[in-house]
Amino acid sequence: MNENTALVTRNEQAGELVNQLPLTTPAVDIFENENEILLHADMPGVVKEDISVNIDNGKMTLSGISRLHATGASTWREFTDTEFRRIFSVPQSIDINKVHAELKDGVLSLHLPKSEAAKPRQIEIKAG
Amino acid sequence: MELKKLAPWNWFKKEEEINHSVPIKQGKSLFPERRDDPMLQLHRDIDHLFDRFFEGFRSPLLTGWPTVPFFEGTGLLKPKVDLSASEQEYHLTVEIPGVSEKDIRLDLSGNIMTIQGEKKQEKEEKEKGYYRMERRYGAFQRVLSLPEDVDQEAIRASFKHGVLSVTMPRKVLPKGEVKQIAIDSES
Repeated sequence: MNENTALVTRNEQAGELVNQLPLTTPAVDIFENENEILLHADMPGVVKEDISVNIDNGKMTLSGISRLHATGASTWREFTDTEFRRIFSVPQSIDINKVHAELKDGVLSLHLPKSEAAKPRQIEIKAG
Repeated sequence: MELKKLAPWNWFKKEEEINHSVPIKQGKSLFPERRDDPMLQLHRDIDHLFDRFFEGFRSPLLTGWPTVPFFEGTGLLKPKVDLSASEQEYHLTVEIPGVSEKDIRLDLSGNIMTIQGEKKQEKEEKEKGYYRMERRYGAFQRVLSLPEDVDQEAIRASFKHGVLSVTMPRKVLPKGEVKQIAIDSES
């Protein structure tokens, strides 16, 4: 009976794996200046429609699917259809509502503006 | 039948020559160097295939970078390529994210195709502080040896979403003419 259960469980896993693309961690550059944090991620072959950026509970999940429809039989392969996925921690100083992104030449540029409260300010001292 | 045809076409013949041009491999071959024997050539090609396969395991230790391998001698970036073949054409795709098509050059000299260019870092970014720099910048190059049946005049290339794709139509090679030699009978 126990063996039977194990067999069923294994089948389900195999079924899930069929639809899953291999995962690739995209290479990223992350810059910071006074106004924003800027992230560049290499995602070659990904179209705009296949990218998702989710920010939830301080975690930002970046995901993009690359599908290249090759014709004929593959003779040499160094990369495949893949899902680029990476999770980042987003600092609290980021204004999540103003996050925006653009995609150009397979590179996703993600702008994470800092909230007004987190920007450096100079406090004026009044003469008393 | 030519034994040579059994071995798959080696697209990276020239590239390997560039790779191995500085360090000379010694004590590799079990067989004496005789270029003309097709069986030995096949052996050598299989050796190369194994070498290349294991290079994939070795490179992270040597370069510390698992995804972007370098040319061993030249220090150039080596973008990843995929190749596929159908009855009508060969199809090549190269991953070059973050480069505009102006910065890519595709040269053809004889049956050697060279893909080269430079990935430039945008200036304004340099002035900012950074947390992470994983993406590589600099010159890149791949060298491919084209098979005989590529119609070189009809090669097309396009660049989209950071992926260069090159279509190489195949042409029918003229078959070697069979010439019959008359045999004189001495009578």
